[in-house]
Amino acid sequence: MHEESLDLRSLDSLADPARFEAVAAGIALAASPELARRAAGGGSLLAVLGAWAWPTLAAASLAAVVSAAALLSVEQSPASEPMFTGGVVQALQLAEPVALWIDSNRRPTTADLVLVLEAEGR
Amino acid sequence: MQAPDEVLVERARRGDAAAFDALVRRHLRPAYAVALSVVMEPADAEDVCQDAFITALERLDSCQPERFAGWLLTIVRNRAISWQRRRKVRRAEPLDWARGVKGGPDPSQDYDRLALGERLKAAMAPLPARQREVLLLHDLEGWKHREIGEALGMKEGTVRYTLFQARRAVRERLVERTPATEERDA
Repeated sequence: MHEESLDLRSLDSLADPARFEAVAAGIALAASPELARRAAGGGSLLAVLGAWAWPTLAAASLAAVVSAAALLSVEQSPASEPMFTGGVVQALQLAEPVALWIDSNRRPTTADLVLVLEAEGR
Repeated sequence: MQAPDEVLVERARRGDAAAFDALVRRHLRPAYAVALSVVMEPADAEDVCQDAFITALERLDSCQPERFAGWLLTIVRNRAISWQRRRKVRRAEPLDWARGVKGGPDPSQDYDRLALGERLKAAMAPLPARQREVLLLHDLEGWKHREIGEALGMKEGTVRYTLFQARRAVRERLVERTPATEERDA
C-alpha cells in the first residue's frame, strides 16, 4: 500500500516565506484587540459571563432554599393563625364576631353585622 | 527550542501576543492544509485560517491545552465548511491567490505552476473531504500517519488506507486529464 507522495507544492501558497509572513502578520493584527482585552484581565466574553453568572446562580439558589424553608415552616404551624388574629382583634379593640370573620376568611353576612352592632351596644 | 503548546496556550490566554504568534506560526501550515482540503482555493484557505485562528483565540478558555492542535483543526474545518457555504459566487480570478507577492520567479514558471495547480484541484475536487484532508496533511505538510491520526481522531491504519485511496484517485484523474489527452479530445 506504500506509494510515493504526490507533488502538491503548486497548491501551497504558504511555501513562499513572504506569503507566510504576510498571513501570520495579518492574523496577529486581527488578534490584537482580543489579546489586549485578555492582557487587561478582561478575559473572553464567556469568561466574563462565567465570572458573574456562577456567584449569581449560587446566591439565587440559596435564596430559593431559604424561601422554601420559610414557606414550609409557616404552612406547618396553623396554630399561629388564631393567635395572630386574636392579637389584631385585641389591638384594634374589635368586637368578638369580627374575629370569627377573619378566622373563617369570609365576608360578613347581615346576621354578622347585626351581632356586631348588638355587641357594640352592650 | 520553543515552548510546548500547553505553555503557549496558557500564556496566550493571559493575552501574551508573542505566545499566540508562536502558536500561529507552528500551526498555520497544517491549518492551511485542512482549510484547503475544504475550500480548494489557496487564497480562500488563507482567509479561513485567519478567521479560524481569531475564533480559536476567542474560545481559548474552552480548549484543553494538551489537545490544542486537534481542537484548532476542528475549528478550521468548521470555518472552512461555513465559508464554502457562504460563498455563493466563486471568485473569477484564478491568479488571485498570488496577490500581494512581489517579484518572484519567471512568469512562465508561474504559469506552469498555476496550470498544474488547477489540474491538481480538478483531480482532488471529487474526493471525499476526509481523503483530501489526509492527502494534504501528509503530502503537503509532511505529517506522519500517527500525527494525522491523532489530530483527526483516526486509527493509523485508516489514515494509511485513506491516503492510499486518495493518491490513487488523484493519479488516475491526472492521467485522464493530461494536456496530451485534453488536446486529443479537443
